[in-house]
Amino acid sequence: MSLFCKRFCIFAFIFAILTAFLPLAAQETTDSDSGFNLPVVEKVLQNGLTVLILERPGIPVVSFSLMQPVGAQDAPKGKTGLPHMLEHMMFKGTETIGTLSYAKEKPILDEMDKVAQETNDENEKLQPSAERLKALADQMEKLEQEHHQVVVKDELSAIYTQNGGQSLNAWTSQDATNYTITLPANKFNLYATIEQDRLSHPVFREFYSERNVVAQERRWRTESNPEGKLSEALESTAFSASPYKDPAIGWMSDIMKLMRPDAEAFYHQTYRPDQGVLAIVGGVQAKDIIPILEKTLGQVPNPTVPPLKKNWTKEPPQEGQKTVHVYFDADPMVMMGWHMPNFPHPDGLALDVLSDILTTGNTSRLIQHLLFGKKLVTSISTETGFPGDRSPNLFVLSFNPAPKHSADAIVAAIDAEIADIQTNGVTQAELDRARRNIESSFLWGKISTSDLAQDLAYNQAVHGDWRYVTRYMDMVKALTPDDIKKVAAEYLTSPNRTIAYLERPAK
Amino acid sequence: MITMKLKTTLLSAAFGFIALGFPSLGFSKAPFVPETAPLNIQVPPFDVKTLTCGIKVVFLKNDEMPLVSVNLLIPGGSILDPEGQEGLGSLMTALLRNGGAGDLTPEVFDAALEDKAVDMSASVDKEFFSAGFKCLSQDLADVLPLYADMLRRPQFDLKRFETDKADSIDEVSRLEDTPDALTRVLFSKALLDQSPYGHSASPTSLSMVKPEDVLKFYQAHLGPAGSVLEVTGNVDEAKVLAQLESLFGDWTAQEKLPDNVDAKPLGPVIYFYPKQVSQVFIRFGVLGLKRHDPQDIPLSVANYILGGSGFTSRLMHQIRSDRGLAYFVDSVTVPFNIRGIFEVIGGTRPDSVKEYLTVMFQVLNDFAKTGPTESELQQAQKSMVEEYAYNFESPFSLADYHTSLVFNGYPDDYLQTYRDKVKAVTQNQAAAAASAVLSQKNWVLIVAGPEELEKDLEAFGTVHKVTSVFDPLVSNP
Repeated sequence: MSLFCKRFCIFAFIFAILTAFLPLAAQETTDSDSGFNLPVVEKVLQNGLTVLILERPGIPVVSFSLMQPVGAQDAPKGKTGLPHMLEHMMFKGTETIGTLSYAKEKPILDEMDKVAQETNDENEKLQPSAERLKALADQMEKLEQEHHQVVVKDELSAIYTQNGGQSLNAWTSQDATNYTITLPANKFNLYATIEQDRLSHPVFREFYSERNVVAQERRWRTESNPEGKLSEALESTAFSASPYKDPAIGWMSDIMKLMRPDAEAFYHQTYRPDQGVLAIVGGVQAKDIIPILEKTLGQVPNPTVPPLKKNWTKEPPQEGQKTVHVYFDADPMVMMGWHMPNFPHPDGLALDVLSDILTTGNTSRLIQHLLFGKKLVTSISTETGFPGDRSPNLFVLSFNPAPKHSADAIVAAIDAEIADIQTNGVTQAELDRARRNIESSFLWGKISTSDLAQDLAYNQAVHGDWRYVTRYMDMVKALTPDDIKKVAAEYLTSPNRTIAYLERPAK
Repeated sequence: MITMKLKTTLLSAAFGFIALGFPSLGFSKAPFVPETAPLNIQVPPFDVKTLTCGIKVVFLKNDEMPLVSVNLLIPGGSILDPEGQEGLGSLMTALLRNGGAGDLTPEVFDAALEDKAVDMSASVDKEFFSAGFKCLSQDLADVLPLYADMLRRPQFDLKRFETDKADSIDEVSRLEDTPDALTRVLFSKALLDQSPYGHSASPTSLSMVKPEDVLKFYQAHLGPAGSVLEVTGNVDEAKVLAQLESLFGDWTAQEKLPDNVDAKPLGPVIYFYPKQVSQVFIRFGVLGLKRHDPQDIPLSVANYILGGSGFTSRLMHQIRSDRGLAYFVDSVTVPFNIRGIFEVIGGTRPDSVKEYLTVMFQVLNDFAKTGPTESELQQAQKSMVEEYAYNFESPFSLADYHTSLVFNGYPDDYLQTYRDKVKAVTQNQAAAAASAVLSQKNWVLIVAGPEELEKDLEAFGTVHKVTSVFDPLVSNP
């Protein structure tokens, strides 16, 4: 279950004919103004779950992406990482999968909650009692041993694996949570049945041992990795009010006191069929599977508790450059981020194209001038939509300084390149090249059934309409060199920027 | 036992209808999965042709999208790097792409490709060089001559040489920045000692490379002998074949490859790299099998059960699910033209390294002694047979896989017969393959983590502290 913060709409660009996917017998297709269409069958099940189906005849597998528009930024205060923890728990089974007897198991799980709560309470005291904490830890260990007798480890994964499931995985980004799997195409029934059970009767067993696994994940991805540390520092410095300031995996102190009842409550507030999206791409036929979906996933009830109201704090305008220094035993690296608007603001699209003009390919400006030309850096890249795309976010530029060149001198050279664009703009040829890159990346990204399923589900769940997959290229095509010049001048300014430096600690 | 019934039912779902009669628990009913028809998978027709120069061309036509992928595999690879100039092969392939080609300067060559959004690249692996591109099918005829220029008439521009060399040195020096990368280097050096397979680049070895070395290396080692070219997508095969013949037909063969003997691991030994990180990285390994070893498939099945199948593997169960000791732990078996590697990779926090290693060794020892159970074997075989469909997710990934099989000399019907071979593996064969590999005494263990770990590691064997991955490793007396 990876924590995957990629921005899917970045890959959701299309320009080509997709009629090769064959006409469908059913409901809905879409056209972009360029005449490209994607014959997606759209069906809202009786409980409100939106299903998107793209038939790929002849492909013997089918990929699923089940997306909920809830992500790390929806975590309650003091419980950062709860959405990601919940994602891990969704692999722990149901009332009948993963257990010898849920009737025997339930009281043990309830007792564990009590011990975990008492442990949290003790730790919150000004002077926690080591003796009391030891007693509670012993009690928890005893309960875990007891629980061990009734649990069937990883049974949900085993069922899928033994049926040829690949890419059984999930990710939690700031904006969404996604569950993926690719199965042999004749295992559609298995998927629908298991997922109905998983969404209707999940059991968050082994919660407190899984907290340790998530802590290991955080140590591995963030704390022991220079890039992980640097990007976390950039997020938490650039944002002072937006929930994007907290890492998607959560802060360690929050992770270690997350509680199972919190995850259950959050699940009922946020995992609602009427807000979720299921995208299905592969060797299945919509007319065959829609009736099955109605009888299975369509039967998952919507919770009776009111849904979580989105209430994200807005990031105020940044009025001066911020810097942060991170010390790590590694060669220097630099990341800088400028605040930018979220999708589908037209300025965001222009910044996507500017990103391409700056660092995609040997002909891009910064690769050509700073890497091959002045040899100031050994690598340089840009991305938009960091760390999410549902709220205003960051345009990020990262580089590794070449030896003997100071980071500040390189920042000055980057500033000069940006100033050139702010003053003189970009050429039509540069814009055309960027557009072709974006088109090509999209086409190649669409080869994979699982990537395409995620694109469709992401755009529907996060941006409200899967048709952005086909419309994005129309939107990009409408841009002019002046649009690129304008956004460079408006957003890539010093007061709007945060710079994070990774440096080796002094010995 | 309810669990057994449930498992049986769900796992049989693909094969037949089984009516369920679960006792009521007072909670939800167990999921019921109706029957589905077996999947009939046809291997698409690959067409293999041979150019006059000897290159085998594997065609897979697919008109679903207006796209083409072309890739050439050339035998050789980084094992050909001269001693003292490790990294030369990697630098040569970087410069092949970046250094200009034919009559075109680097800048003009880059523009010619990027104006058409062509993604062209070259790289090196231990045993082969690879060079390929992806483009729109309408551009193929224009791109192939550029590709041929890159492979046959590279310019190796001097300015680009300086940049690529500096970038390569920087990239290699950053290998010590993360525990994952630095343990990978140490693992290879320790396990594949006394073999070019264990060599790795260092800032010093790269700094020794001069422009003329790149040219000489290129001339000696890039050529058509033993090479396989993959062409997949929306193509007119006859036209492409004719163009390939005119572009590559007169390419002369490269130097013959030297013979290599098996590596000699430095183990049993532990190499410890002190690094102040909160997650310790651990690699354990022994020599694996040579490509085409009869035990290849039995070992793959055994590895699937031991650590190759994610959550359902023994290692994952014991280390992550039961004890929360790791975020991930897995095992891999990689064959080479000499004996390959068998590796277990994972990580844990510093205060649980002892427990992690105790459990890991216990699982490995148990598996070496008794192998998989009959039930584990059956489940693994069923999974591996079902997963076979995944190879057919896209024509491009299927063609990549098939081409690598042709390149490595696997029989033409390998894809067709793979499932039967997996199904035919017996418990004894899987156990024997696991035992042969895991019972080797000269294992190596590589650990990167905080300084104070050293004493914990001593409980498991002789520990040598390493301060630079680029220094020669100290061996046991």
